[in-house]
Amino acid sequence: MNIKHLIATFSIVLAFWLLLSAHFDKFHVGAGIVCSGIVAYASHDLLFTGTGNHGLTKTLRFIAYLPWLIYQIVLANIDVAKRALSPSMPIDPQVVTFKTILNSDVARTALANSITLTPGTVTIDIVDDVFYVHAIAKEPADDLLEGAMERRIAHIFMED
Amino acid sequence: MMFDTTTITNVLTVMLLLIGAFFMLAGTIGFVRFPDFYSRMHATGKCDTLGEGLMLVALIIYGGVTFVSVKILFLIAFILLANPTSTHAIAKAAYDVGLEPWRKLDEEVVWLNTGNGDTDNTDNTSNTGEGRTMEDGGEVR
Repeated sequence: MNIKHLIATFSIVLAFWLLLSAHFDKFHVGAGIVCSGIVAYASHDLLFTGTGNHGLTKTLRFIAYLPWLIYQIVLANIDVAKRALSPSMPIDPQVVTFKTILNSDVARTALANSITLTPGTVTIDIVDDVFYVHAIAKEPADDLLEGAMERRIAHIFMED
Repeated sequence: MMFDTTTITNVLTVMLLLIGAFFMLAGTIGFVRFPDFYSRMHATGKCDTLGEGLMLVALIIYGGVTFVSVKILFLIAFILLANPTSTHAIAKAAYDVGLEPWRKLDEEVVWLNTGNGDTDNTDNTSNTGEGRTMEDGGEVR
């Protein structure tokens, strides 16, 4: 058991408890400490799995990635709303596959979720290092295969 | 004429609620109109994320900086994480079962066949795209 991971998990869980409870009397804080202790003991090896080096840099880069992601989500919604509301319904669904350059599970999950959130594409499956993506029309598929998002993710998780 | 902060807050709240409601509506209309399972996942998986997000941001602005607002902020974060994941899980389940995506081309071919009055064409599949088998076209897997 890694005592550093245990203490870090305990602090995060306790902070979360205090935020959600918003009661600071003896009983609630005491119950929070006890519960956080049990949870931290049971799951201390889940949160910090030894993801390798540069954890802080990765976190900061991921936070810097979020505004761009939110912008993409807004674009995605306008795109879907347009397709759904226009009388001609300009859709031409297709499944595209591409091989990813990412190695770690976290990076692949981030890419899969980003693909689903961005305009016109939904990740269906990942088999080994091949992504199966359902695109609602040809243009989103072409944009995806260009690989701009994959390079961003690779930059965040230092796999480029 | 003066605009005090309450007015500005209220106007912002109403605007965000309306935009959020619009996206939820667009997503639902897309859900009804789109031809098959996978394209419907596009409508629900995306519009719900932003629609709910905007509505919750409206509530945060209306409520001000309180503990409840922090909880709503966490809600937004979890929706951002859970919505694409569940969309992906449902789509993957359908794909594993063998549901073929609807193709625009298929519709045209079937329409032409029925238009010709081709009587020996027994391949009279419906256009919905649901429950399609592998022989109906589509080059996946």
